[in-house]
Amino acid sequence: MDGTPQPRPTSTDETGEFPFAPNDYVLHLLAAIVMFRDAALDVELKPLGLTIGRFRTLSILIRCGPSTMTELSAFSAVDRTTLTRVADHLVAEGLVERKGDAEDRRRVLLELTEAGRDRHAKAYAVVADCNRRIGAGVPDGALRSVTRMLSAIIRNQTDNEATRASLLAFGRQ
Amino acid sequence: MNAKLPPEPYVPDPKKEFPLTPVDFLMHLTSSMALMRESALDQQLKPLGLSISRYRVLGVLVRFGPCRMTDVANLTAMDRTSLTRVADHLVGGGLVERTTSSKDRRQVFLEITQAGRDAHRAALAVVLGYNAKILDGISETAQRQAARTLKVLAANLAPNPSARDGIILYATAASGAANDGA
Repeated sequence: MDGTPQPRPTSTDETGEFPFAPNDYVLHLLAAIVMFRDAALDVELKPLGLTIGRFRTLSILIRCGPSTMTELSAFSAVDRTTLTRVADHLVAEGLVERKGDAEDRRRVLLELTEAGRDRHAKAYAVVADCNRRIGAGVPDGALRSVTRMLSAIIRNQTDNEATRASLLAFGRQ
Repeated sequence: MNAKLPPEPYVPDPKKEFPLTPVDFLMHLTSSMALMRESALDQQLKPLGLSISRYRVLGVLVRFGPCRMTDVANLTAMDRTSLTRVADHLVGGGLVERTTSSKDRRQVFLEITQAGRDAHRAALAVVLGYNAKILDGISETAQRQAARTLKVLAANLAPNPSARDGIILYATAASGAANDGA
């Protein structure tokens, strides 16, 4: 598609290789991959008392260190309402603590507890195993080119520099 | 970070191109992309009374005609609980009707109404516009190459063959490959 998108009854691929135009098909497949993966991981993480959303929040705290809710929301691309619910749950479970910043007592930081770190390590083993199954049979070069495309998509998606930089570094910039 | 803490479990990329191994990083980016896309589209579709999930269901009904819930689930990768909630909402809003087959009264179909078609057409422009924006600068060749890889990833993940074909071929067992662009 070039220029302004023309409303069409549906999206088609002129070459007939894909059921939609390549750009729409790429996003259709990515959306499905996320839904399949989230559904599978929610089941696999349940014995650990986690969901994929809770695991993601623990991951960001591992990678970024103690963070405010605003930072956590930017670093994880999760909206504040959802994030508050997840954080409350993790605090109630003793996996995360709310602490005042030593330099600015009004600033509240979320921080992993030892139990949170331990739970994350167990969950990571489950998630990494799932990721290996997803990539089975795909050559390293093909995975790398799709990963580069995803990085370009994320750059196009957000003007928020903190979100962009931390998502692409999977850590604090 | 405190040196006494145990090391984080993440495995770095052996080729140092990415912060994690390619598949771990790809999944991190994919989830992040999807979260941002869904929240942006939910917001943009709100004035039309739609969300991205409601749009997906309407899209299936426009393309395939009346469908059973199972078919809609397979074509959207949605779980049945979410799908039921979305379908109830669309029926309540007059965009979709529940109909029964003349052959088998127990078989319930979802069928789009004229109001549903109009809503879908307006939403399609929003979604295609967003898709074009976020894929800006990525060549069609790169998109095609990526789609071929993503088909393998989706097939590796699909919970069953019907879900796999629903997503990859965008087809149901009854419809065959839906390449008619209807």
